[in-house]
Amino acid sequence: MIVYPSYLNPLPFTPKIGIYMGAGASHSWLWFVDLLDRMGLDDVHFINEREILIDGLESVDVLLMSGGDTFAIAQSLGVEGSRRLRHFIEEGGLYIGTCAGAYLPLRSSMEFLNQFNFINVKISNISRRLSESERHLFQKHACSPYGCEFVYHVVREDVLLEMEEGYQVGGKKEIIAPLYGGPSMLPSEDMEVIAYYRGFTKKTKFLVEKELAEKTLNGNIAVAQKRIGKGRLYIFGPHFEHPNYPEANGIIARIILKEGKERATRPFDTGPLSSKIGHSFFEEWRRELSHSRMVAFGLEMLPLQWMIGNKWYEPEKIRVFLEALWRRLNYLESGEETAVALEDPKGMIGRLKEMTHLLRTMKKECDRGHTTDGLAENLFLHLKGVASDFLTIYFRKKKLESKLSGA
Amino acid sequence: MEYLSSNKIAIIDLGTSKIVHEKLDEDLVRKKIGGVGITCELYERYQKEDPIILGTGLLTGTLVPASALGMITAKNPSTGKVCHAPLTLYAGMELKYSGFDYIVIKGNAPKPMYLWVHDGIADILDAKEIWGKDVWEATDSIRDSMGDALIQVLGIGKAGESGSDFAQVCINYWASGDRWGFGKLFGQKKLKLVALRGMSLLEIADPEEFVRECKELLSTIKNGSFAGKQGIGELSAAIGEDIRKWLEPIIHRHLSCFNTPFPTNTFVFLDEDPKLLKESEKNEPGFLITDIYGLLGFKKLGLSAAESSTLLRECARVGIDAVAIAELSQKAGKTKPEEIKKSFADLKGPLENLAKGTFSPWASPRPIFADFALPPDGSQNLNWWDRRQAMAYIFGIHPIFALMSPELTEEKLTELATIGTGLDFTSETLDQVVRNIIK
Repeated sequence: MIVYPSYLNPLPFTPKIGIYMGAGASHSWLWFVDLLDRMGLDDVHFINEREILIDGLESVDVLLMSGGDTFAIAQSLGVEGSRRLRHFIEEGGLYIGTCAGAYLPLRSSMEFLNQFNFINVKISNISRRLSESERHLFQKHACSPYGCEFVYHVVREDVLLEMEEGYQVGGKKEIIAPLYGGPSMLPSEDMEVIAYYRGFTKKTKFLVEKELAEKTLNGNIAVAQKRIGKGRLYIFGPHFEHPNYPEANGIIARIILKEGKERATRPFDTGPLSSKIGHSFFEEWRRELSHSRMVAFGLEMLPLQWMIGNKWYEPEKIRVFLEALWRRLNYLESGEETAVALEDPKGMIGRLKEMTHLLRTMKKECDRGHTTDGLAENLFLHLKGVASDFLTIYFRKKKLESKLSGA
Repeated sequence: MEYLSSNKIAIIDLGTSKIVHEKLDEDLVRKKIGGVGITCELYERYQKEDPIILGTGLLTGTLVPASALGMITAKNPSTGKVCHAPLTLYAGMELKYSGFDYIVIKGNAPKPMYLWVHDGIADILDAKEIWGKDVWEATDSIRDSMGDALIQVLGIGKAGESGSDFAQVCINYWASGDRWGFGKLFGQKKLKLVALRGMSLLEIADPEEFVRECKELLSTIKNGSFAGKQGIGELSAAIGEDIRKWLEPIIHRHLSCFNTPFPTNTFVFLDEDPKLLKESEKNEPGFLITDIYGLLGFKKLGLSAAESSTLLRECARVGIDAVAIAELSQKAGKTKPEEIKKSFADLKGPLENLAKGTFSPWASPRPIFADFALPPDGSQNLNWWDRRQAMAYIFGIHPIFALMSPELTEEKLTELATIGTGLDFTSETLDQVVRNIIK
């Protein structure tokens, strides 16, 4: 059983937190949702690239950017997105990026990525640092194309990290967190180190020989931070937000509670309160989530994998979305009808039904031996939309209830 | 009801399409424990509306060995007596996880319908696409449209649709222990099938103790007198009708019901080579024999194992009780498979072996393999059997396995029910419930 530390908010305000779930985001942004939920933070908003490109960042104090396809994120945000992100940080915003969210602000000469370059640092896990024989060791899953080179990954799951002073948990120097392709950074004067890669555990899955894994990671930087203007960027190679790693979660919680500044200049556009949404609305959610879960479970029995953008997706990721919603459904069904602000409840139900339809179509196509790459790409887009719809209702209800109990 | 329960009963009126969800009252569980204790109570409550009650035992779908049983409680359309049919394979377990402990189906639908019960949702849906299809086609159709091959289907075929007295509610593609003609009731209600699926979880009051006790019980049970035996052939030998040599050439493999240590079902290959070990490209190849008495009935007509199994397959597709077909065929002097197959719809008349009790005679009338310390003259067999079946149908224990495992005592099951629910069940409560059921 995982024991999570309690996170008491010492701030005189509740930070408004944006979680990026737009183009390029995979499924790990849902881990941030779990973390914030456990922290009792309910002013949570889900932001996509379109919202960043207008003025979505003006409505949040903290932006959380998790894993996925860094190139797709960079491309969708473009020059304007980069400008708005820099402005957000300079004006006191807190950016926390893990994995793809950590690669995004690093210096790069690649198209799209070169629009960011917020931190001048090099990574150790790039193929130009490999010998010719080592380059041939990498299979498709262990690397991502990077121009003529590739970014490579040497392990998955647990890595052992050494935390710098000020970030140690209970006086312990070492902490464990999972690594799923995040960066390993070389020393740089442009940032302050928070944690180094130090070694492995029994749960580490090696994708290459242990020696090469040690050479790539050990002693290099796993977590760092940089001040820009009035704000800060924190970048994490490993997924400190993963729900199975409470100590690592605690580091992110402490950063949010320590560095979060009340800066949001405009309220998040939540629209007018919809008429009360009640049992029949949530029954529809239960019905379709149930349908989707059972098909998704069936897909997990099949040897499937889809390349979407530069990232591989497996059927198990579908259920990460669905389970995140399913385990919160009882809460939404409980109690009286709620009048939360929903822009388009009917549209939400439509998207939900479309998700079930897509899953069933995929299952049929798989059973016939057909490829499902296009359907999978569409499905994951839908999953993100449906998940943010649902979680928006969830956090709005929590916020409403905490206001009422406070009053 | 907080533990070992979904805490929900669905009351479904096919006549009005109205569905009401009720909570499962903890006091009712204290008094009636579960399974047929509660299906009988629900039957009495709604008896004016000729209900069909689907239910689960208190321990169904748990780690308790052989906790596979769900049940249908309804009025036998031939005798008017309230009876119970077993839901085995994975149907009982799936019902437990579907989000409802009990489902009351009342009223008659104005047109063919089916019920889709999943994760706490019960929907009445139009069956126009599946009415008229045989049991196998209807099962395939539901599973394909929902995209899930694990859906458990309680369905009728043409026998039920046309009101045959011997119509059976089948489980997926296979025969069930419905010896009561409940398939006819489904047909009268224009209910083609009930599809069940659930990915819920059950909470346990004291999970560590419950798991420990279940593991301990399993380790005792698995060394029982059935150890090393499996399938329909061994069952036949145990009840004095040894068909092992007769059946052996077409046996492919054996299959257990949910969490049941003895496989009471046997797969035979009729169109394929029985020695074929690799998985066939066909869905559900061969035929699963789930009813020993149907098989024995056809054997008595002088048919080969393959011919008998082929007829069992036909009965399952049409949704008709093979035991009745075998007996009536014998009376009518029909002994050729094709002749029997063609006469399914015409075979009528009373059955000499019409079951007279409350529990389905699908389970053997005597102990299997094991010694339950009964007098050798068989004088106490009937009382013992009724009580043993009542215990199985209250707690949700496989009713055939209950006859082969003396280690599954009433005391042990009562204790597990107490640990699992946190409610204090006593032997007096169980006595009272059993007396009410078999009165």
